[in-house]
Amino acid sequence: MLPGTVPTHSSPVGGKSHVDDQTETDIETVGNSMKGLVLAGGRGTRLRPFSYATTKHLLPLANRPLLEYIIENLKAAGITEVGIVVGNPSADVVRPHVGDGSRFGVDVTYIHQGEPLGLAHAVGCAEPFVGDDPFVVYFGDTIVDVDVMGRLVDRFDPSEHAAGLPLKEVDDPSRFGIVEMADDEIVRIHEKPDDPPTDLAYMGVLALTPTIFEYIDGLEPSDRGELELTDALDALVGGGEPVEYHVEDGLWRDVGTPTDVVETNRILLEGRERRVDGEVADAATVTGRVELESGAVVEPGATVRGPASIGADTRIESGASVGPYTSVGADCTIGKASIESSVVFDDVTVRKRERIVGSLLGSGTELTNGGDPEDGTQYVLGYDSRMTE
Amino acid sequence: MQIVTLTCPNCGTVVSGNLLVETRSAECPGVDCAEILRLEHLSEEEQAVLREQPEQFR
Repeated sequence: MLPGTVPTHSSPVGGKSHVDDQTETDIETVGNSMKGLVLAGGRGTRLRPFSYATTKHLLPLANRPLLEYIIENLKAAGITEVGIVVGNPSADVVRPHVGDGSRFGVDVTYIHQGEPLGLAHAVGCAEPFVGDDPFVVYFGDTIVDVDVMGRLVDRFDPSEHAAGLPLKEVDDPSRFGIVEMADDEIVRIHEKPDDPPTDLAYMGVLALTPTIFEYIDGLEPSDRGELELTDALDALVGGGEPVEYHVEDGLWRDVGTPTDVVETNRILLEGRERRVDGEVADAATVTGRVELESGAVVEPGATVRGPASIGADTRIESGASVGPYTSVGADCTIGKASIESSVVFDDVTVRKRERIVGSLLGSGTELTNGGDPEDGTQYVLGYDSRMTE
Repeated sequence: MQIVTLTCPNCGTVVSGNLLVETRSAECPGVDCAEILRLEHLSEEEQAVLREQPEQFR
């Protein structure tokens, strides 16, 4: 089940197997003794220029900030005590947005990491928050299925396991933390190995007990000057601690680059239903699964093709074509242009006779005049960009 | 490597030791909290740990 919808079932039982081996149960009954820990302290350098103006954890995906999907997934798994690790780059925007968590139905504690000094440092800083409880670690740039989170919580038994690792087969294992197996057990975990022993990566969600802190204490900074979570997990495995793992086939996306944002936006829009709260003129065309928020207007002669999401008070003017696989934020104006497979943030104006494809248009952007309606053009424009030739 | 933190006694927000070394004292970054957190609130042992750590972790 894609994020953004309410789950009803997931899978129980510990042990090691493929997820298809499971039977279903109600996930609301489990996980409520666990805490959640969201790692949102990174700089997001791969998402510049957007991460200059905000944090990647609040980038809009299908018109909702990434961090909201994460908190919603934790809540759906029965986890209501949530720690959010923030850093110097992210603290000032995450805290005002999330607050104390009450509007999401969770209780949020902030852990201020200062400088981002590695994922193991982020987890280590959370030890006073975690206390003696088991906890789920959720990378702040990660999207997973609601069911992936449910299965993780269901399978992990903190009385038997020191860690629970959902694994995923990946095409390019040299980009991930990869497990090495022997006799059906994880024996090593390697960070971005040159010669990967398997194609199984550990995902951006995992379950841990406070045992991990003993192994973080034993770490030294890596060559890049950070405390690496992969090193801590490798030490935990090497220390003979029991690890639950299972191979997942559910959604896992690392939203680390502009291309990831566009692709994840596409996937999330696939899961949306048609909902038209805005105004559609008689001579306008709105087809398929389109979310049209209150106050949005599709004028005569404009076209919106789903899957698409149009934010509140946005105006799609005559001659405009939006979608499919496109989200347009609030307070935007889209004039005579065609926008496909793109993410348009809030308060953007596009009046350029052009076919815009696979693009990110940051908040406050103005894209007007000129253009070629035949060619497809890809833009990655940071906040308050102006292209008005 | 030991990670040193200070927990705000008012709201429970956790602050990394490296942040306190950098600023010596800071208003608690918790939501609507005005507690002043100081490096001196850490124990002598914890302050010594911070002094001995690599520069970027202090």
